Amino acid sequence: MSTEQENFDDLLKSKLDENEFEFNEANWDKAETLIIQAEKKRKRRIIGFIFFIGLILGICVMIPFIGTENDINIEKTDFNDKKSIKIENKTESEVKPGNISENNNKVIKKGENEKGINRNQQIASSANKALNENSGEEVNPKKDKAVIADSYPTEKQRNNSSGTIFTETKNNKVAKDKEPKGRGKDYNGNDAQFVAKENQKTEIAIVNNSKREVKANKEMENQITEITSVKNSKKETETIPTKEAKNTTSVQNENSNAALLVLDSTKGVVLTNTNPKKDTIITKDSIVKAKIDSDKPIAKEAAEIFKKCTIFSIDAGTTYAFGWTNNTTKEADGFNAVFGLSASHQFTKKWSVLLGVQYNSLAHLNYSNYTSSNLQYDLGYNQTKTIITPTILYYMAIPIKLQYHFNEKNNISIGVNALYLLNTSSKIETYTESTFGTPVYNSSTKKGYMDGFSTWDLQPSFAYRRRIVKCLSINAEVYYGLMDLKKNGVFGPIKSEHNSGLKLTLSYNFLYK
Amino acid sequence: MNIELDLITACINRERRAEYELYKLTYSYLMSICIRYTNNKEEAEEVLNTGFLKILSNLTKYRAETPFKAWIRKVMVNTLIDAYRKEKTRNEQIKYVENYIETSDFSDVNNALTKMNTEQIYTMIRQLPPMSQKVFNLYAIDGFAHKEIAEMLDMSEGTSKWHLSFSRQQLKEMITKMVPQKKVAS
Repeated sequence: MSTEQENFDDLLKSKLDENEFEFNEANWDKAETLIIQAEKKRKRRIIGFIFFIGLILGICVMIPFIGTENDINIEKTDFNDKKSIKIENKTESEVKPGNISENNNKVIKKGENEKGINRNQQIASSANKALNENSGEEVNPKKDKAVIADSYPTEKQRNNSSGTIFTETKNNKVAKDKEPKGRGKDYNGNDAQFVAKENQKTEIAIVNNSKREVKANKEMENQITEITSVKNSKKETETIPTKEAKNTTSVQNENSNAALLVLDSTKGVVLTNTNPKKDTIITKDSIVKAKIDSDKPIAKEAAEIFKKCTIFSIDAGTTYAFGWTNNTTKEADGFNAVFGLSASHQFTKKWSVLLGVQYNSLAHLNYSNYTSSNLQYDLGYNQTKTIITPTILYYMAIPIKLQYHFNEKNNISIGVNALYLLNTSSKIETYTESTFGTPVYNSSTKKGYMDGFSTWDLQPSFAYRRRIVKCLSINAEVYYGLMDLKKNGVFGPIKSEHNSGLKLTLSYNFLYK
Repeated sequence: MNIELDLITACINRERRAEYELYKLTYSYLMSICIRYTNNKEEAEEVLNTGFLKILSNLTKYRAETPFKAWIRKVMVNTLIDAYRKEKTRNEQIKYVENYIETSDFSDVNNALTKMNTEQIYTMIRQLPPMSQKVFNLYAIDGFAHKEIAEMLDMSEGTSKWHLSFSRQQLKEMITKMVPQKKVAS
């Protein structure tokens, strides 16, 4: 560079430095407004950050309390806290002598014992009837499942101040006559007793029914537990004789007065109980290997406890968009409003699907998308420059989620939000400059400039939802936009703008179906 | 412009009075920078406010070893370049020029320049094409190197040099046109 050029630059610089600009008080007012706005924005960011940290901490604190309930824990017997037989999705349960005690029996009212006796008389008659039908005939093991069921209070039990009904199966003479293996014992009570038998299998189905009505097959669906106790077959029954009795089976019922005997040609004897948790078999002085007929009744029971339901909710909240950087300038970051409706259909105890529709927006855009310049030469020149800067994008979002429920209160979900661009809001700035006139600047806001934006966006999301009260839930979600919001072909720079961020909404459940 | 450290500290502590004082003290200097990069005074004032906000929010990064004047100049120039980037079209930006011609005959022009007032110089600079105007301001007046200018304006160093040369040539032509007119007028 020549010295003359250097001198030219220096001269120009010194000339410019000479100039003094008078302080403009009005401009300070504008600057002050900007400063105040910046301070507010800073405060909002701090509050948002604190809120986010609080949310994260809250989730961390709640995690230990999630998933502690075991929902599918079907207790077949829990009328005695300490010594009950539990069946938890097992096909077979063993009753060991240690679990058996007369003291296990629950208290029932005294007056009900008499009813129980009457009932046992009915049982006896039914049993005799069954016996008569089977006597002298060869029992078809497939069709006729002969039954042994004895439900009668002993003398000891009648005098028991607790009023517990204790039913006991002992050898029965009739049964003994009919019983090829001779395993059954007589019962020394006065009333109901019978032994029904079968060549190989004898099935006892014991279910309580507080209504005392025998509708065995129909009520099987009403939370029936069918327990098959093989009595007369050595192969299938394990009994440990004691001093007092062998092969004794006691049936203990908490709520009903007595067990109810039903003879059914296909199911055998069924004792029903309305309370599915109160059924049991307790053996006295023996071990009875109770065999659950199959898993199906239990699975069915579990399925029937849960009821499918659909919950409709109103959602409202805020999203915090992370935004992106455009030429060192951060764009689209900040809070936006979101609200909508959603429906959640729970099809199993643990799983549900959510479908909704939400109004969503993405604000704080500040990068100019369109700049058009029009220069006309006439007498001098006339230049018009128009800058269109989209500031807000309006979306309709359709969230589809698969939710996993840890328990009634907590669930997590994974899904996708499909966003459709509804409209945009843009700032239109026009500069007009001419040789002879003073420059004119106009600014206005208009909607509808949607060119250059992707119409659709997909956001995979992960969310955590917690029910605060029965009809109010809080939902925290993180999402990542897959689509490039601005079409690079239009805007020039090869850059991807993804709409990602956090969403926090409150859901009000207004309808259950 | 004499800025004391106490005033800067008060501004860091968000004291509005101190902010006002700093604004008042730096206004003329910042305006002289802004007016060169913009087309009119209103636009210059708008960018000045944005730049001043940046200065305030970045005061904690200021180190006393650096002259405050140089520091605020750099912040303001960066603000002006950002503002320019926002509104420029891509087509304006991509203009790769590797060959340029330097003119060396500036003796007459320098003489003429001494006779010109500041307002005339501002008018001349504003008449330059936008990119050339930026390069000339950055290099000739604000003292940035071609490498820095190339990074700032996303161009090659050669393009920056071409814009500088082109600006000088344009200014030279403008001055030579204006000086005879003055002579005629006088």
